[in-house]
Amino acid sequence: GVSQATEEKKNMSPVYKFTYFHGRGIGEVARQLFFLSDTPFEDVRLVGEEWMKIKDQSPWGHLPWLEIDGKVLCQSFAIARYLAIQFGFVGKTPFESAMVDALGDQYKDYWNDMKPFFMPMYRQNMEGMKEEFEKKKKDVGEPARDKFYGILTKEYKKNGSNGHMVGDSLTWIDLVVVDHMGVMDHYVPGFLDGFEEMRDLQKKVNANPKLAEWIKKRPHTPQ
Amino acid sequence: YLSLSNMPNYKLTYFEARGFAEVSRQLFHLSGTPYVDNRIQRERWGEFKSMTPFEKVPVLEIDGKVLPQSFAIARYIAREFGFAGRSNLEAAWIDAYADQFKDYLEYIRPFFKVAIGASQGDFEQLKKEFAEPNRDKFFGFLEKLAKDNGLNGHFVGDSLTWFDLLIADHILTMENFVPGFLDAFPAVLETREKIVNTPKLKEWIEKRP
Repeated sequence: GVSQATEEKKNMSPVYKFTYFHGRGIGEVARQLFFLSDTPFEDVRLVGEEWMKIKDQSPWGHLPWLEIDGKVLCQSFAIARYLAIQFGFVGKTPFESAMVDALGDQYKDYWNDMKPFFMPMYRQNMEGMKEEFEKKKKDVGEPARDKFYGILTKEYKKNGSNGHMVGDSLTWIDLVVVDHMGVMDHYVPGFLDGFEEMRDLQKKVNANPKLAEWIKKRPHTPQ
Repeated sequence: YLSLSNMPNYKLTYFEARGFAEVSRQLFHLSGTPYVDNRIQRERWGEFKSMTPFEKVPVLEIDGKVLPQSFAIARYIAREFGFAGRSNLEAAWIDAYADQFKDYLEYIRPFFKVAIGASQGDFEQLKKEFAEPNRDKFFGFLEKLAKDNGLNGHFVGDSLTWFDLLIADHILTMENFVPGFLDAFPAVLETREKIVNTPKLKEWIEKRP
């Protein structure tokens, strides 16, 4: 009967435990994939000194990590891709999945370019940090932004400006890009103004009802 | 030329070097898949740059559709032809180790740029400051991985994967810059020996440009 099938499914479903900092960062996309697919998971968030205490015993020495029936997987994008494959957020063809991966790699390149800007950005309101923040924004942030969001704009238009970076379905790169836009909007208001196609992507992705529900109920952190 | 009607047309474009395209070339060769190995001279890069989606090579054209980013390309080909492990979880571990490898490449970059002649700097000083500590961390991890995997000639599972190829090719590059660079990692070196002696790979390595 139906209840037996449900029981069998429950017994077959893996047990997921996701460990990260209490923040969105590079862990948020995994949490969103769980929520969007109605998949239960343990959302472990480490606060303050908790990470430093367990770091040396942790599987790989960095966060996040995902346990699937006790088996450990690390690296945020390997985790995101694995979950996205399980739950159907990788596009509809192998080529689409590969294009999502390529955009993920480009995002990581952008992240590396932006690194010297992030710390001054987070600390901009601290005593004496304003000048460094403005300098790094001009020398580092703006060129990196123009390069990356220029690429995204081109790809988004090529894909028909349909609310998705690749194909016609929500993929994990949509989630990564839009969450990051939210971070930049918070710390550097106006930083992404002028990238109209990206604003369109952001609006359409954030309009996804289940995502909107998660955004409302998740713990609130600036990034 | 008899065209296999179901097989896509593949064209891989990169410089005249192993670099970030070599693993993909190896995957085509290992799987017996015909492809165009398009090598462009660095001096002509300016002509092609704006034609690529992310202004970078390698790019892989699959029936005219263009895929950028070397790891996305390698993973795509590997999954198509069975070089990505035997399960979704194994494939994910390979992805994770490959990302770890990319992080390591980023950390050794100041040394690497000087080693390949792309910038000026103190080779010995950069080697001590960037190459050696990051090598110890990353290859220490791989040493354990190889041992935990039973020294079976692979870093993950029991089949040849694109991660095996990535590491074996990188070791060759580093040994060219620093002979004996990985002498402290015998399990890694033993695994590399087994990888490069895979018959079809050995054949490619001997005949490649």
